Amino acid sequence: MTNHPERPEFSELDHVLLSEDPLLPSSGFSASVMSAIGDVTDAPAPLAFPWKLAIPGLAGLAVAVVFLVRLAVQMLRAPVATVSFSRMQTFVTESLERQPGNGSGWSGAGTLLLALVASYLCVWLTRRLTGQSSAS
Amino acid sequence: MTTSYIPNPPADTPDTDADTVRRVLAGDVQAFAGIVQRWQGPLVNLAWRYCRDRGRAEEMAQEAFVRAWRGLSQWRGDGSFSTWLFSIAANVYRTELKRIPSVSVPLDSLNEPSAPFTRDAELDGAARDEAVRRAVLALPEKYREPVILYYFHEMDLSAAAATMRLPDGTMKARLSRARALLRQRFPQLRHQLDDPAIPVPDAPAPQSKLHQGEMR
Repeated sequence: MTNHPERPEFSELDHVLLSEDPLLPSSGFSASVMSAIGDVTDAPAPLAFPWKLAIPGLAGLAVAVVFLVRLAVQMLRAPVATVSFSRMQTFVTESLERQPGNGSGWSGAGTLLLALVASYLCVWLTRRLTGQSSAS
Repeated sequence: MTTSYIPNPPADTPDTDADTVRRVLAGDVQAFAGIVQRWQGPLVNLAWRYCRDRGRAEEMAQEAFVRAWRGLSQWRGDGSFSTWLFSIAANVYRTELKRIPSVSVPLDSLNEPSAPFTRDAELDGAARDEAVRRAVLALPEKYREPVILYYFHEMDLSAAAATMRLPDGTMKARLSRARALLRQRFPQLRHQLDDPAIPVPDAPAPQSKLHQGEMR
């Protein structure tokens, strides 16, 4: 004799698994469910991502990435310099001659100014993002 | 003795459910209490069959109701509300039990009597039945759920397959394998089955009238 689920012949196994006493939910179950649903309903909607505020930062990031990629490509395409001792000596000597005291300090000041501006922009963007987010 | 896990719903349950869903979707949150009242028994009982822990069964059933409430707008009225609801519940229970498995012993380490059962024999019938039910939880995951749902739906293969969103054929194959594993573990059940001299008392009809009206 076989038991096939398609046309089940009633077996002891079927009897055992069918004849289970039903479990009555506890008296407060329904109220508990409605309370849980109330909590879900009353919960504030999830905060939307602040795209308006993030866009300037993301745009700046994209520009920086493009700039870095271009710089990397340029460096890779540049011919490999062969460094000899005499050329290095010339390079160091020229560099020392370009000290601020020698009247060529403007290039260093330019780099410093650029770094300051970049830092200020970073701080400004961060403050704007955090300040507006906490306000909303 | 056989008992239905799904309480006798009023004859107009499908319409009642559809009306309730419409009211809830129109903004009447409290109308959902009607659905909870109607289906709390079946959902808690189904959860109980998944974990055999009353407290956890209620927690899982509550989560199933919350999930159903959230996804109420996704129920298309052309299908049965109960099938949709049971499917959500089965998903919730499956996920919950994956997250925190219920305590169950491996199928091979379940106690087995030295001799086959005979009625009123050394192992009490109720204890034997409970051992068999717990053995269902020890089945491999792939076979466990078909057994739970098949017997929850009172041996309605199509309803069980619809709840799992599986083709009937797949469900049938898994169920056959599961039943074979259970019989292998409890050979006395097979002996009783093969012995026509041992009657099965209070044998219910395999197809319950309940599902004819309620499980479309």
